[in-house]
Amino acid sequence: VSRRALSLAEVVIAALIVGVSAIPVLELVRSGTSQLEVSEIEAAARQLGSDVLERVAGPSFGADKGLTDAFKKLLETDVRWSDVIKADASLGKEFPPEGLSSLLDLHDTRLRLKIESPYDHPDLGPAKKLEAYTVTVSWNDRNGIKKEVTFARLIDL
Amino acid sequence: LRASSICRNRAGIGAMVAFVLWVVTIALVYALMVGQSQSGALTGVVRVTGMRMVVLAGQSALAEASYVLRHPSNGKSTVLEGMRTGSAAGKAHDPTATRKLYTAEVSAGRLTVEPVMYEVAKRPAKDGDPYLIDLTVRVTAVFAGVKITRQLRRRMLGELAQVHALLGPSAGKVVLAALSVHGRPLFEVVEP
Repeated sequence: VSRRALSLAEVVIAALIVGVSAIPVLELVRSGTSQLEVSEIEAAARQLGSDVLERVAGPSFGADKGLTDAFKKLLETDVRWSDVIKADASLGKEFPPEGLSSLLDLHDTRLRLKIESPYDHPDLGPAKKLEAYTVTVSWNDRNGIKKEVTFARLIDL
Repeated sequence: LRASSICRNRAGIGAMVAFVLWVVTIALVYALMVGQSQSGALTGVVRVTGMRMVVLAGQSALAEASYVLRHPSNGKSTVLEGMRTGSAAGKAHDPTATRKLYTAEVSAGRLTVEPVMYEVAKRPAKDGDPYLIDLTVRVTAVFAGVKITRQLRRRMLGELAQVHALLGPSAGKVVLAALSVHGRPLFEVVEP
């Protein structure tokens, strides 16, 4: 039996075969070393929700804290996140951070805003001078399952 | 001649095995680095978003407690009772309204909002001068394996009005007391 040295082409082909076969293994290693149970979209959605709530419930929102008509139409309905940002100019300033928009769009991220004024709760007595701001963010995860998280804040008027 | 040919063949196979091993090793190290860097980046985002939920829930609980303090049912509050009896600290309010707003997180064990506590930070030297009252709440959020606990403190300015009986068996004793708390807090801070 005659033996010969492998040519360079054969070595490259062998390496390619091994490399391609290793891709699933590499993905397993990568995911195994990512120690968190959170996806990029969940982190982004939480960032969006808390940021919108801080802006809506903050003292500088809108003219004299008044809500624009465009914004009022969006209350208590599931709307695309970008529609909320467009509805009030004070929300859109330097927001969202670069690179976040495409990720939020990709996962059909939606916002639901609720403003209860006055906020009524049996433990709060008869006075009606408390407002509740609630922002719910929903998105489709990588398996297409809808998820959501709520941020809320009471404001003592 | 044949012996040198076999040696050359073995050297060729050895080189190929070494090359493949080198490629696989580099790829595994790269995958490990990518995994670790993604973990690091996501850990940062998780901490920031978890911290935001802690702060928002804490601010909400403090707003609820200061509201109850300013508008007490039947004019009575635990803080007023505490101040009258000389207690410098105690439970001010159980923030059930805030917990209700965060029902999903609270019931899943991802968010804990403890009762709001009060502490008289400064008593006035003479009657009629304002008290400094601190309201504090501890909030814990657990998100993706990261646990974040912070205490939020809000300092309020309050004035205690007391009516003393002049005549009868209660002469000299306080028969009516009311605590008036200013709407705007002096400050609000997040503490470790």
